[in-house]
Amino acid sequence: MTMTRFLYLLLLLPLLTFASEEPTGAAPTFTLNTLDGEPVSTDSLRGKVLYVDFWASWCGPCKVSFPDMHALQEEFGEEQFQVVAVSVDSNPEDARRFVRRFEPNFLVLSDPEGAIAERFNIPAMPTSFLIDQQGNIRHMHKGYKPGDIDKLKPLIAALTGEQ
Amino acid sequence: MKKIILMVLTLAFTAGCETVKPWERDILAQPGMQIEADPLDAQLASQVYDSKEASSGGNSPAGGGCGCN
Repeated sequence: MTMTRFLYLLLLLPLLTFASEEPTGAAPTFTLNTLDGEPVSTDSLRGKVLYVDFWASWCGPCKVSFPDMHALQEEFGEEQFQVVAVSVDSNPEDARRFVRRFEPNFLVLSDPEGAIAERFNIPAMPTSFLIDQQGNIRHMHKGYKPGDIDKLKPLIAALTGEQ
Repeated sequence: MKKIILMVLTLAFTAGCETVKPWERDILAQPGMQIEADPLDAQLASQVYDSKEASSGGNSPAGGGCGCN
């Protein structure tokens, strides 16, 4: 390898820090407390399609996603599908105040240290993952804007239809 | 050549500086952490600046602070 080629390769190295991969494979399992302090493990939800959403009270688009997650839970029911909203608020009281406005019909868990967010390596706020009945990540959704629910519905319908 | 390699290596390492993770922006997203604490005041200042400069825009980068896009 010539010195010039080596230098070019070296210059390309920083670009690797921006490379991102669509996550696939087994989703990390975790146990977190609800905002009332009750522990919930994702192992207990195995067999259902999970929509795991990382949100925070300070995140603007999360205000848009909450009513949509409520609608998704209502439409697909609890037998085969579960929305798991994980708050990354460092102060769980902020999350409680936020949740009181929406009265969600889905699970809301608290990850004040961001340990689970780190394991999922979320690239933006909010980020959500669709996890199939076998516990594999099948889709990642970055950010949230009005109308995104229409993209999610067919994906959830396909996953809940899988045997 | 050694100097060039050293320079390139330094550049490569500075590109790896620690960044705030999306879920760690809690405190940074608080109103008190904004550079312009009062949006109305900022708007007024911008209006005065634009009229004095006879041009507008280019005051801030596009996008929000929550890393959504």
